[in-house]
Amino acid sequence: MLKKMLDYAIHNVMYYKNLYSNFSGSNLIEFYEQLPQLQKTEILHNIEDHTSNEYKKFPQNRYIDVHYTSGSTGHYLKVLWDRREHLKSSIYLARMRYNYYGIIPEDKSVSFFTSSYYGNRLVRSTDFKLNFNGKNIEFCKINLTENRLYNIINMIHDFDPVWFNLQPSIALILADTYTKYRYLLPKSLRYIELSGEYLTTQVRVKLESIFHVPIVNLYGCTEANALAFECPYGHLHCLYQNALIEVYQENKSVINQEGNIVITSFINHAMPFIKYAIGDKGRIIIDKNCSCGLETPIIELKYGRENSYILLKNGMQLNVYVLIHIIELANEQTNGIIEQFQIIQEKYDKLTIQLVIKNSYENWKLEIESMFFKFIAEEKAFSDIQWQIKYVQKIYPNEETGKVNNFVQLIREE
Amino acid sequence: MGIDEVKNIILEILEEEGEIEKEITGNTKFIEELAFDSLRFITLVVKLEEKLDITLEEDALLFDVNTSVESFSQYVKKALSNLR
Repeated sequence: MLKKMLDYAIHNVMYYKNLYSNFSGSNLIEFYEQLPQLQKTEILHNIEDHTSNEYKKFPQNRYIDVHYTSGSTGHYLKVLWDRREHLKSSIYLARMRYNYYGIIPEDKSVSFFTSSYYGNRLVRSTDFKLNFNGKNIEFCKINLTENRLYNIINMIHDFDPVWFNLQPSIALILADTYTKYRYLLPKSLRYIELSGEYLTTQVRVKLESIFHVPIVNLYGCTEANALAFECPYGHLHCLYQNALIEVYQENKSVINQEGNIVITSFINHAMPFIKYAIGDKGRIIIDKNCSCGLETPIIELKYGRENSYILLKNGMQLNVYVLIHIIELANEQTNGIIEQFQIIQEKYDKLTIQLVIKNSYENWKLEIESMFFKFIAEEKAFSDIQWQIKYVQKIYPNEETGKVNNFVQLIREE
Repeated sequence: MGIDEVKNIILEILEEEGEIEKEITGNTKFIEELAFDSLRFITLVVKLEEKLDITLEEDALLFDVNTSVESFSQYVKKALSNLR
C-alpha cells in the first residue's frame, strides 16, 4: 500500500514529483526512507503543490470535499478528500466499532461542532443541526452557557441517542451538567467515543462513573481520518488499512520508544500525506499480545504536541512536558484529584497553571501547591519564573478551535 | 447466494427504519430509490459482512459504481467465492 501511494504521488503531486526527480536511488522504499518529514507549515504555504493534478480537473474534481483541521496549533489546514475515498476510510473504523461494541453507523448519535461549512464555504455557526437523515444531532460548541446546556440536555433526552461522539472536554461538561441537575441519562445510551484531545485516566474514570457505558478512545486526524481505535481491553490498535503510523526520534523510525508520530495515508489520493509529522507524541508497540485477538500494532499516546515550548528569557526553550510531568506526579500522589489543567505562559517570567480539582478535595489546595512548588524547585530553569495557581470550575474548549489546549503560549516571538 | 441475501439484509435495515413497503429487485438503485446515504451504506456493509462472515473489498463502497443492488451483490459473490 505504501509503494502504491508513493507511485501515485510521484506521478501526480508536484511536491513529490520534484523530490523524486532529484532522487538518485533505485526503488520506492529507498525514496521513502530519504523523504523528509512533511510538516504542516510546508503544506500551508504550498497547498497547490500538495494537491493531486488528477483532482484539479474533470472528472475527478467532481468528487472533492474540503475538510478543515481544527486549527489547534494556530493554523487551519484545508484538506482535500475524494468523498468516495473518505467513505472507504470510514469502513475500517465502522467494522471495529460494530465488532467490539455493537454500534452501527446508523445508530443515533450526538456530537458537537465548532465551524459550519456550506459546501466548501465557512458560514456562521448555527445552534444545532441534524445530519444523515436525522440520525445525528450536532450541537455548536460555542457559547455553552448553563442555560444553553440545559436546552441541549433536554434535546438530547428527546432525541434519545445510542452513542455520543465527543471530545473529552465536552464530555466532561455534559457529565457535570447531568450530575449537577440530576438529569436522567438518555435511556438508549450505550457507548461514548472520544477523540480530538488527549484522554486522561481521570477524565475516563469520571465519565465511566457518570455514564456507566464503555468510554472508548479514537485517535485520528482530518488528513487521514481514523488512525487507531481502542479495543475493549484498553489498547489503541492502529488501523493499518488507513495509514502507516510510525514514531520517529529525529530521522530514525523507532519501535517501543517514545517520539514524534509520523503518518502516511494509504487512502487519500486527492492530497497525499506521506511521512507527515502530525504533531503528536507517542510510542508504537508491536510485541504486545492483546486479549482482543487483534495483532495490529498498538499506539500509546503522550500528552501535548511537539511544538509546545515554554520560552525563557535567556532564549532557552523547555518542552511543556516538564510541567505536565509534574502535574502527572501530583495526580499520582493524590489519587487523581486534578481533573483538568491548563498551563498559560503570559510573559517570559510569568506562568499560570489553571486547575480543576474534584469537588470533595477543595481543602487539599495547599497540599497540591506545596507538592507542585517542591517539584518546580527541582527544575533549575524555572528559578526566575513567577508562578500563579488558579482554581477554576471548568476549562472550556477554545471557541475558535473547539479544543482544550493544555498549553497556551501567549508570548509572540519576533 | 447473492442478490437474495443482499436483498434480505437491505430489507432488514429498512425494516428497522419502519420502511417495509419498498420492493427490491436487482435493478433497485440505492440512492435514488432507497434513499441510501453513506451511513446507511456502511451499515449495510458491516451487517452483511457479519451475517456472511466475509470482508468486502474497498471498492464495494463506491457509490457511483455500485448504484444498484445487482452491481453491489457482485462484490458479495466475489467475497464469498474467495472463502471457498
